[in-house]
Amino acid sequence: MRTQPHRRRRLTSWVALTTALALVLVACDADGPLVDVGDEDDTDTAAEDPAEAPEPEVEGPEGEPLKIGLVAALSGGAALFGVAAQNAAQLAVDELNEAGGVLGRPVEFVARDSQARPEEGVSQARDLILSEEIDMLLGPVSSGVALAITELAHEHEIPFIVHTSNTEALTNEEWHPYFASVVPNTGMEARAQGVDLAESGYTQWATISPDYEFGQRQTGTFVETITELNPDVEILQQQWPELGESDLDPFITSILGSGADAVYSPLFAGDLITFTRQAHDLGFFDRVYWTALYETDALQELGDEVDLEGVRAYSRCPFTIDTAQMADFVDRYMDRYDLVPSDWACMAYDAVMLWAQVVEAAGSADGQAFADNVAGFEFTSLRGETYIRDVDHQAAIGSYISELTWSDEFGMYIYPTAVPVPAEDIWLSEEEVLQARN
Amino acid sequence: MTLDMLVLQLLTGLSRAAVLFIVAAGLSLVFGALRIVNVAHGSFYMLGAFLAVTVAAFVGGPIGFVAAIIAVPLLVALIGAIVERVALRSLYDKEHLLQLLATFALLLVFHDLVRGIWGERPHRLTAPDLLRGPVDLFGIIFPRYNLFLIGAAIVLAVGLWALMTRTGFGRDIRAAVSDPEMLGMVGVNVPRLFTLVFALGAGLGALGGILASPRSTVLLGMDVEMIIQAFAVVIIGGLGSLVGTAVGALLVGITFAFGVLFVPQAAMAMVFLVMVAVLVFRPYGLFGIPER
Repeated sequence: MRTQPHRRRRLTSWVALTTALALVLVACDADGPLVDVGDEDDTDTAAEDPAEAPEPEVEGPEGEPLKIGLVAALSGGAALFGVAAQNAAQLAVDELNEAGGVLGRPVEFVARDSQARPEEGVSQARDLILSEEIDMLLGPVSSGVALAITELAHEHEIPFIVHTSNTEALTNEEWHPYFASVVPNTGMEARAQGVDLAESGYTQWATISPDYEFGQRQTGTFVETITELNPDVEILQQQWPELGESDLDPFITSILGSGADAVYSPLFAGDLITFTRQAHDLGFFDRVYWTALYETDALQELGDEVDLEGVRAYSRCPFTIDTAQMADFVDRYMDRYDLVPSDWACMAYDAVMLWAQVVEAAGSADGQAFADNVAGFEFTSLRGETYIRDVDHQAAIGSYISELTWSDEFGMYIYPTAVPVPAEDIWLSEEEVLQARN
Repeated sequence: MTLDMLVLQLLTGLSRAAVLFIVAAGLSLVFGALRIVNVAHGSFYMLGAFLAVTVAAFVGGPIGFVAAIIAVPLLVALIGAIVERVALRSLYDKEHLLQLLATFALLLVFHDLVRGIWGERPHRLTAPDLLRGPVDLFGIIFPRYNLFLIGAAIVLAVGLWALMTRTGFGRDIRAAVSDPEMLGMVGVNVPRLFTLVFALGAGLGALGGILASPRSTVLLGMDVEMIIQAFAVVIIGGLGSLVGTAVGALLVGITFAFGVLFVPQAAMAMVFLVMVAVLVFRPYGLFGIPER
């Protein structure tokens, strides 16, 4: 009765259909939000949600307020990087107001959720520009969203500063004069690593990277750079686990079997944490030289679980950078949010401060005035004195590479001597940038 | 390529298969008896992991992990039973599409629920020291925890086999797989049986989530990652067949592990090629019951 012929076959086809649908779902998900690296910002401060807290009544600056907008992933997998940026930008804005505002006018901060989706990001950014009439737009977490809204900023002549998303397309083919970047782009990061490791003595390399735009681009540039600088370098194996893969064992054992003596990886966040745990249990760190993108969040999460002493890691903006500005910032940030600022927080703070300094220097918050003044602008960042290059408005900020060491003070591994590979050594030349635009 | 290396790759495939088996066994049971394509099975897997984090932290110490392994599957089984009574019972006579939509809706609901309770942050479940760190197997370095996983899956497989073949409950389930209406006619309380089977399935999903967690990261999205592979296992093995699920899990786990070794760019594609091949030659799965 119930078990009529074909019932089972139909069931099977339903299952097959479901699986196919699920696959499509996952495929879209993996390609969609081009999260550029970021990470869970070990924080529960999302609950404090500064954007929704009532604006503190600031006495001092008067007149029509200037508005800063942020469109970033405040929910979903990349939320914690977005929230870190939101926290830091809010702190920066409050500090500007305490110091008398910008051009003597108070500064307001509005944050919107892009859900890491380009369409949503564009629609939120458009609303910020048209309804909120913002004077500056802070960049999102994901490069996909950044590429979608940079065009909008161009159209409306709104200063757009990126601090987390860093695809090289932003400074190359999609560049416009209202754009600026305080984060080294993917090309710079990967070239810095290639330059740093070309003469390390290791020649038999393997790579393991997240299988999507960011991982592919960064790994491609690294391989290109290191093999060009040192012809002895051979790439023995390249592994591409899916984003969010929970079982990396087969990848790890496969690399161990490849005979590689060194391994490069742009895995990040949860994937890097999973990798580190599983690799440790397979004796990986005793057998190969290993370098990866250990940013503050991942290090915080890992604590002392795995011995990372001496691992040569790279990061965009470690909180241990030795400048007076950074030391002050870390104190203030920890006071307010009760955790060390992640790379994403530091860079968002720098983005707000760059804008404020340019506006003060220009004497106007007008978009055109920003574009005219930001080119070649010299400013004080948390990472020290730096400048904005004329050709692509890229801050001359290098990539930080050093050997991790344990810190009792912070209860995590830190970058003890955060010295960057200088931007001038790793960015594309002005000619190359111009060429890429044609 | 040395023999050691192949053995190591095989072992990683086996530990992957272990988790897959535990999760897919629950899926397959529900499938076989209730004929429901339960997309929300991945939710029980994720819910198990998150609840285990909380229970382990609450109890504390190495006992925390053990307490989680015992308490959480029971708790999730209870949640499963409630879900079956409230959301699924009225859908058995309806189209598959409707059931599919209902369980998909549940997947979304549980996802938001987990996010609401535990937040976006990844969590960590720590195994007792006894199960941590590497172990030297005649020169092969292998994680001790993975050996535990493989062992746990074997114990569970034997336990489930005994349940299905040596108990009245198991007999009823097997009867439900082949003809639930006849089962009702001979006086078995079929709705109650269905609730129990669904609860058992949910509990197994949760157990899989707990056991998989100490070696990775407990995070949102682990539900969808797992459900796809679990479906592949069940399709390969055959609906409702325990042996089929075991074989399917081994095939998927080992194919993936060697896929990574030999064709790194297409490891997951290899798994689905196997699935397609099985579907072409045995549409009802390797151990499924052919149509009559």
